[in-house]
Amino acid sequence: MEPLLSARGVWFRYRQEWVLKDVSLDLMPGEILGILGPNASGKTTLLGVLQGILRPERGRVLLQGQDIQGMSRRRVAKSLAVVPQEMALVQSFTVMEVALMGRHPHLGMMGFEGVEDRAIAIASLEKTGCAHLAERDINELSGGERQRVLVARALAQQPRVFLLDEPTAYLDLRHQMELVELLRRLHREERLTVVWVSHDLNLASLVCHRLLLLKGGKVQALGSPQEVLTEKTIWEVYGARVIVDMDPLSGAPRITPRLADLGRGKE
Amino acid sequence: MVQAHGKKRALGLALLFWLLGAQAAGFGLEMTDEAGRRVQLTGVPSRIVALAPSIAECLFALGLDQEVVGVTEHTNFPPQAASRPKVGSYVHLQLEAIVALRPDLVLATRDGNPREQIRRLEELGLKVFVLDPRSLEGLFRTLLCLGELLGRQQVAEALVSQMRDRMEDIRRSLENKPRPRVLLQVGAQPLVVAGTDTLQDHLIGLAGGQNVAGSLGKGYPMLGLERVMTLAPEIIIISSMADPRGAEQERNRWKRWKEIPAVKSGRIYVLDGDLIDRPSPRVVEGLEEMARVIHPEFPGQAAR
Amino acid sequence: MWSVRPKTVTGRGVLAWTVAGVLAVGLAGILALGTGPTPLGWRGVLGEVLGEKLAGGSLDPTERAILADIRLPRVLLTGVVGMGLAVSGMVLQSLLRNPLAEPFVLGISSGAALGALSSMALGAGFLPFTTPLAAFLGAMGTMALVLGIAGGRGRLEMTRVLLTGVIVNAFFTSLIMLILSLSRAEQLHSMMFWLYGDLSSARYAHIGFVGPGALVALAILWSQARSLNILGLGERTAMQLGVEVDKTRLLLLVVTALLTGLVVSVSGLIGFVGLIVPHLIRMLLGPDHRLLLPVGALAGAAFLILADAMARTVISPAEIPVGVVTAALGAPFFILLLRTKGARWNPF
Repeated sequence: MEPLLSARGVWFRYRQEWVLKDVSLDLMPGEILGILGPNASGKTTLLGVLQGILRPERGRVLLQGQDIQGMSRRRVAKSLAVVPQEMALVQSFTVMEVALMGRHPHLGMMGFEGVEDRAIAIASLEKTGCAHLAERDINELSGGERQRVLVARALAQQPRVFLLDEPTAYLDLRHQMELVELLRRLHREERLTVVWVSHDLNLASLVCHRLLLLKGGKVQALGSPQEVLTEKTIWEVYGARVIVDMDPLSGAPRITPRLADLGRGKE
Repeated sequence: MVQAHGKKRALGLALLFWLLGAQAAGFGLEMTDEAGRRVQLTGVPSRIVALAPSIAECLFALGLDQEVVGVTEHTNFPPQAASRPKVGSYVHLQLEAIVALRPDLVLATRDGNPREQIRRLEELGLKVFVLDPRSLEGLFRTLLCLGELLGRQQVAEALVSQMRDRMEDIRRSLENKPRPRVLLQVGAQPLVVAGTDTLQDHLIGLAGGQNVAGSLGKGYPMLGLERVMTLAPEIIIISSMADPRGAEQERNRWKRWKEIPAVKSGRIYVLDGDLIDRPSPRVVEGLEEMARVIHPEFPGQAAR
Repeated sequence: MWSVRPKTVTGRGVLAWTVAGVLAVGLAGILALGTGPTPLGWRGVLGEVLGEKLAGGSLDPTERAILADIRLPRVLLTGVVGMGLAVSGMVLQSLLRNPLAEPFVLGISSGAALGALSSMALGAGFLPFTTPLAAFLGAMGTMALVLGIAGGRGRLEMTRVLLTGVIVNAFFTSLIMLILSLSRAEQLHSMMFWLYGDLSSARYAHIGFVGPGALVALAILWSQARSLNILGLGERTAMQLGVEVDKTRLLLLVVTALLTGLVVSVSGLIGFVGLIVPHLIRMLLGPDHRLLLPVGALAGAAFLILADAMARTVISPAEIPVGVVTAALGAPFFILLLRTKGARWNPF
């Protein structure tokens, strides 16, 4: 099987200092790959490179076997959709209009969306449980609802690959869970292939098939959650002492912070 | 001297007419105007629009009245002219108003009326004749031209002759007197004066004065106060233009600069701009007024 | 507020609103054609168009000449100019994400003015097209200058474009003031009228000069309407959705500058149309440029046609420059807008 998205020996820097050093990864169809790492590890930069927005100084990124730097934005957008962390306040577009924007890469020069495009957009809204919000002003929705609309827009693009940029970062617990459940369901039903950048180790552990751990721009570990999330690795990458045990329900590694003065109770 | 001059002038004019290609008066007249264009008239014009106050004055001086159907703003003499319908200002014409008057002749000035608008008038099918009465000679030529155009040659010739004679008289009676240094102001803020090759310059010469702004060039140059000090005029004439009160204020403003000879001796005068700026038959009156202020002993009513 | 913002925009919706816009322009046109120092009346005008019996009025030959040779080209040209200004303003406001943007913000206007005034000062007004041509060249030269300076080091950042435009504007304005201060009285009048916006010398040739280019520009801008919508979501998002951000922005800027340069070269500097009409239409119809651009164009045309008619009649038979009327209408509106929306208002 060919990887849908790969990075081969990517080196990137903004100015003098290297932000990504010799990063390689392969994203296989149907898998959920999590990208983890402390702040300033290069997660956001790696995401920018994987989208083709940032150009690596050395190395390449291949989308479905083709160098992403040689592709037009439209071509990229047909295969790869991004769900950002949040959506800043914008003009008063309706939810439906935002979802329809996902069709842009597929539309011709001028003109309007066709019957099929509208059907795809509506279907995307239904799959994310937003169909009842279709004519509402996007700025009037709650954070959680807006995230779901962004997922719908990504779905409307009908891409091969989804890139999720810390999608739960600004959501409260319930909405985090809802979003994750939604994404897992979509993954099952639509056979999505996903890159999930996250700061939440436990969530990543539950959701992802494989994890890539970044530190200082280099790949520290790449493998299954069981392989990657060990106390030793976490100490090396995050500089934090944790207890790693197994979640009885899922079988996934569960990380609990080990506070320095644990055992002394709460005083 | 005057007679010899007069004869030469008459001959010269006859030649000019012949060169201009003027046909016999009456129907089917073709003339070349000051813009070099050939204009043909099929009859004596009876609905004329004058695009400058000076032209309107000339028309009335030649005995026309009802034929003048439209004038521009600031046309104020004679009173009949002032009451005619206005077609905008001479720097910004109201094309619609002109067309609505259905004129058979439009008289324009070469300098002043916007060329673009003159062109538009012609495109709209109107007959436009361009005049250029900018200097004294230009004024005489204009009057004679109008006489030819409108079937009033004799009146025109008589008028021109009369004007020339009177002006010659004035010139002669003052030519041997000492010529005071004169500055003629036509604009305030910035200070604009009359240089050479202007109507005002000619009048100053005829009135027995010496135009100190002559060294500054042709037309209407702008001047700084320092330069005025160096030029040291003995007489300052302020043209009232459209604003007599403003002219009075200007006179008061000069009083601060006592180093200027004209200020020291109190010889700052305001003259009616309609008489000295406007190339019309009343220019003779303007000359007389100017002569009186430059040479107070000149007979007649003293100016302020 | 009082928005009739349609639900999600469709092709049919745009068509419906466009038809309404065309009717509005038609009405404004007929009204304007009937207005002026010589009152023709809308009945008379309709009589010319539809035939005497239908309208119940007609014109005599002189009036007909006035209508066909003076008023009709003027109303048509005014429509084109109004359309150009409104569309340019709308695109620039969206591109620069700034509610104060308008067609002259990038210095195009002062470049055009410099060209026009220089041509007048050199006495080149004797040829019918020297002044508009000089104005157009001035506008294009300024655009090249601004884009060249702003885009000097790689990517074209909108903030840099805006700042460069403001600075170039200021510099050229000083040159314009220099020309004005050194000009003779007669020239000065013509120059001032050009600066304030003057459509009184409109002729069919002007429409031929400006019309086709303006329509092409409008078509190009409309073809980018969807991209313009998406750009409003942010640069990154736009890229992610397949918009070539840099190329699209450059295209929009250049075409807008061309459109502005064309209309300004024949009309002088008419302000407020490109500032007010976009806001009005946006408030009414929402943020989708596929709808905003055509309706905005037609609204701009109708607005300026009516303003010009007012300029002709308020102190008849004299005329006030149309820029005075647009300012008198526009400034209070904008103040009202600021007061109702509040200090933090930024629709972008």
